[in-house]
Amino acid sequence: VSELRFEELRGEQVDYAIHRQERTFLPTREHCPLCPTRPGGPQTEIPLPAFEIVVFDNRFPAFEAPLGAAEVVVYTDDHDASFATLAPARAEALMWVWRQRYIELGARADVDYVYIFENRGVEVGVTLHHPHGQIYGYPFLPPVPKLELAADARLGGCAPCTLLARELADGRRVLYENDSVVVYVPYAARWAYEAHVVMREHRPSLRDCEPAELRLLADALQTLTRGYDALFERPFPYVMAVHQAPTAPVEPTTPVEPPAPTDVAAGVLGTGTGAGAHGHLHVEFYPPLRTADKLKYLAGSEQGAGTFISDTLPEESAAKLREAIARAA
Amino acid sequence: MPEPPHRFRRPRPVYPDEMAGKPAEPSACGPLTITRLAKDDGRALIVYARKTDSDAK
Repeated sequence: VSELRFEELRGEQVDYAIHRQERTFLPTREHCPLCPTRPGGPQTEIPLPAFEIVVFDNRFPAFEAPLGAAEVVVYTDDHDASFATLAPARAEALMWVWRQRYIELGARADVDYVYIFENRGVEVGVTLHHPHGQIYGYPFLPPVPKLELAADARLGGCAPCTLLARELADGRRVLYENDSVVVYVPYAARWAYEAHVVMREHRPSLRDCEPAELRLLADALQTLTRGYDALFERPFPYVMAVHQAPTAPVEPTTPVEPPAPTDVAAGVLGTGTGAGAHGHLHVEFYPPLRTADKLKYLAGSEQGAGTFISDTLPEESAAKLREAIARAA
Repeated sequence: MPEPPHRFRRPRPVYPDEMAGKPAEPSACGPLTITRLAKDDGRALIVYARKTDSDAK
């Protein structure tokens, strides 16, 4: 059972899930708990000889009912695959799984924010190599989505809509586009190869996406992750964070309205809906590598003062990533 | 120490504002079928598979 304590100095919750100290740590592939249970083989978390995508309650949850949720999403029964190497149809199916979990978990009274994410690579703390992601259902609105809502208020409308328009107008940091999704290194990226994957239309969540948009979201995510792997010709570690609308009422509550298309095209600020834009589906990637073999650490300035010091310019990183994406195509 | 603020939350509807009035998701979503199982220790396990031609009949 987890315990939440409120840290007054930073005004944030800290989750104590001390049972997680005992969780499975980098098992051999023969003892992978996310592989199927083969006939005659060891029992795994998935009692099936084969599967496409499965979701199950985390055995070592950071949150659990009646105060939240923690789930594991296994992308495939192929131990050696990755998000980038999934067949396109499987990646598209994963978007539908994310959507279904967002809706179901978000409907729970004890879940205020559904957070879908993937930690890839030991550099970001992965304990199981089998391709998988996780979903946390937070019983409160965490600080980062809260900051994004504050950005909505500061920019006078949907912040991701405004920032997307600016990136498209500038163009130097755009990595990839399709009809529904734009991928770019943000103007003020914190990580050397940070990238944001943003829906063109104002879609608060996966629930609001058309089927074609889900397919094109999967396409954009795979294009980026394949480019990442091509960048240094090695499996590229990252944290992938899916940001969507909170599933609990947010104060102040005003109607969600997308910016006018003319305003978006002009790259101006939002539509003056104040804090009413309650989220805009986008996926953020935080890769810890700053070179092929050097990691960016969160040290004195980042941890003690909250200010990132970057060794690279986003425009230069974007140029390298565009080349890598082209090589991987 | 004071209790975290969420412990004093009032009950709220199953669906928040933006979801109010919308129907619950059926047991199939998009191109997928959903099968719900329970593991031996009671934890939920959800199996997703792409619909086959026979599913559509």
